[in-house]
Amino acid sequence: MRCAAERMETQTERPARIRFKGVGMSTSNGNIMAPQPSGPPHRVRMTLFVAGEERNSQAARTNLARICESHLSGRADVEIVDVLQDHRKALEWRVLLTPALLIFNADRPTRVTGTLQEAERVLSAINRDYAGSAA
Amino acid sequence: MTSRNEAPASAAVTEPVQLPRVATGNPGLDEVLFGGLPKGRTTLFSGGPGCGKSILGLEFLVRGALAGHPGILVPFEEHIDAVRANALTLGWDLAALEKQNLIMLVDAHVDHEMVLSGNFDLHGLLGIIDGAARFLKAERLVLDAIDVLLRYFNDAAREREQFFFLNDWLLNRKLTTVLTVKRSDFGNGSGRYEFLDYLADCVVHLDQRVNQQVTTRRLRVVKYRGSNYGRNEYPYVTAPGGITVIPISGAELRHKPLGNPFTSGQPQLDEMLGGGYPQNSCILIAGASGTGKTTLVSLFARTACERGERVLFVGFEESAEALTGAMLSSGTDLRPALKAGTLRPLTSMPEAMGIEEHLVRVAKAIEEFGPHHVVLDAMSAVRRMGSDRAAFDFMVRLVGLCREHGITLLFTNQTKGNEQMGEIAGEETSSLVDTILSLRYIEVGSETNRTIGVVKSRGMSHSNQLREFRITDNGVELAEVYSGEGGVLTGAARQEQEARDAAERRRTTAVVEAKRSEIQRRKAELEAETARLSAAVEQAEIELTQLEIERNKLREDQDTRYAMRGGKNGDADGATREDSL
Repeated sequence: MRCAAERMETQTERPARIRFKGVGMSTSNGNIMAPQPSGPPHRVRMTLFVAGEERNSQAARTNLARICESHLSGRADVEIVDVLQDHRKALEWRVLLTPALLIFNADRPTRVTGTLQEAERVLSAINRDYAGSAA
Repeated sequence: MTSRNEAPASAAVTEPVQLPRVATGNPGLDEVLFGGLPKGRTTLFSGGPGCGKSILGLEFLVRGALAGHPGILVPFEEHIDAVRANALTLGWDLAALEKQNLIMLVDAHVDHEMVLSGNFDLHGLLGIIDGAARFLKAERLVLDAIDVLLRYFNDAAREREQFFFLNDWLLNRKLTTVLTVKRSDFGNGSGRYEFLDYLADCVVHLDQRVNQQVTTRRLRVVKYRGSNYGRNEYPYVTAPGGITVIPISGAELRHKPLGNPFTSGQPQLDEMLGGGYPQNSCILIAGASGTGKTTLVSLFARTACERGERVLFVGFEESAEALTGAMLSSGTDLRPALKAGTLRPLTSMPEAMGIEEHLVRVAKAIEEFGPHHVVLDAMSAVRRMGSDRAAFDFMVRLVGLCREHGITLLFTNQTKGNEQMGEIAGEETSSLVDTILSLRYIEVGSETNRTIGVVKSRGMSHSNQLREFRITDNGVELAEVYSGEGGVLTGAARQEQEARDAAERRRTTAVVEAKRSEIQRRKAELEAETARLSAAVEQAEIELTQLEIERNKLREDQDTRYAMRGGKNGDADGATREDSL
């Protein structure tokens, strides 16, 4: 069975200027420093597993597109797999809970399960993944 | 149904329909489930850690696969390599079945490091199951440790909603599904996954408990929608080859009737029993320690083996060597039977395992060896398997097993002393047995002697007399016992009593004779008196007659004189005048 994947290139428009709780660094005097405006400098390879047009999966697509657009400015390669079409891929990556995002930069992929509604959590995972691959 | 209007009412009641079932392939479990799991529906196996629920789920798949029904296993807790390794210890080669596309293992252990963000659902799992089921043409599915997956929803309402969703999907997909779930909150109904019990169509609880330091396992079907099932708790064991459930209910139906009697090995005892121990019967020999219970069963075993029949000797008291040694001293040589292989000892310490393991051991021995008779020594030791209840469970199943196979079962029970009937067999066991022999000590003077009696013997005309029971170097002897006024006596005391008895009898004879002659004397006296009195009566009668004659003579004279005076009306007037005089 051929995997029904689509590639999604994010556009480089304007750098996001949003504060992220997850990636903020605190100083000794307790002030929150401005976080880095986006994810790691290199390209990020990810696979989003969805279940057709199911509600949570739709939300995840939308949320991921928004995150890529605002924080990863063109440095994200996203493959989308529909588990209802390609069960082998789901089996291979043990995707039981959908939607799920697998981030492939480190040796072992990092998994974010859910609609990806909290962008900072997703970015935190991407950054952790980057730290993992850099180490 | 002649009229259209009547049709709906009468059509609403039809013959009950049996829902289709899928045999698990496990004979005991299928018996308890009256045939198997509900086809195309969801069954829940729940239980605490180590109770064997995963093994039972796996067995359902393996036995199905071996019968040509492909199945999918989704273990949420274990790695699939571990599942394969564990299955091998039970004698199941999953890899081989996987190669034949009869089983698929889905690696589903959840990534504990994953980040959660927002809502999610089980579609990934369903996609995998759907794809796998299509590929294998699978009919069976096992979701092992479903609680591990549900726990990620971390909210009672969401867990419930997702399970509903899963259950609906499975029903639509028509997969016969087994879910296993951990359960540590037995009985109080407050468990987190209690709701699964309500949603599943069939629920089986597995329970491992420790009773007096012995672990026992029980299986119970809690519910089965649209079907009847065995409602008791059934002991089970996990061993190579899978889980063995030991049902009890159906067994009764296959019992064979009692057959011809076999000799007990002692002709006089046979006579007491009305012929011997009937084939296919269950005989209990009860008595205090040292009354000769083991001797009697050994005698029977030896005699049966001499006829070429096979005897399984289940011993909980002593080793086979100790037994043969002890029996030699009373003239019962079991060695030739052991050597010939017609007598097979099966000995173990009762505490060594739970009753279910003991039972399975005996059941396997019966299956392999195919004995004509089973001897068990002693039921009192069986209590050490955990409790009186455990002992009862053991005996009920062993008796059932023997009856089913047409085996004569002899077992002994050690009582604490000369106890009452109820304690001879244990209140409940006595209804299971056909024949009860009671051995007792009787202490008289300075001697202790043994007696034997048949307390009960179904369908046999047996003696109700006690006999003296002697164990000599040459074997077992029975003797008539004294059963006179002084109670039951044996040994020297009996002889003394018999002598006293003879004297007493002689004395009694004399007294009777004396009485008899006294009566005769009294009778003679009575006759003499009667004669005297009747003579007196006769005399009085004679005198009366004389007086009457004299009076008549006087009246005639009067009449004559009256006539002479010229009276007319003769008799009548004469009489009137007579009265007026």
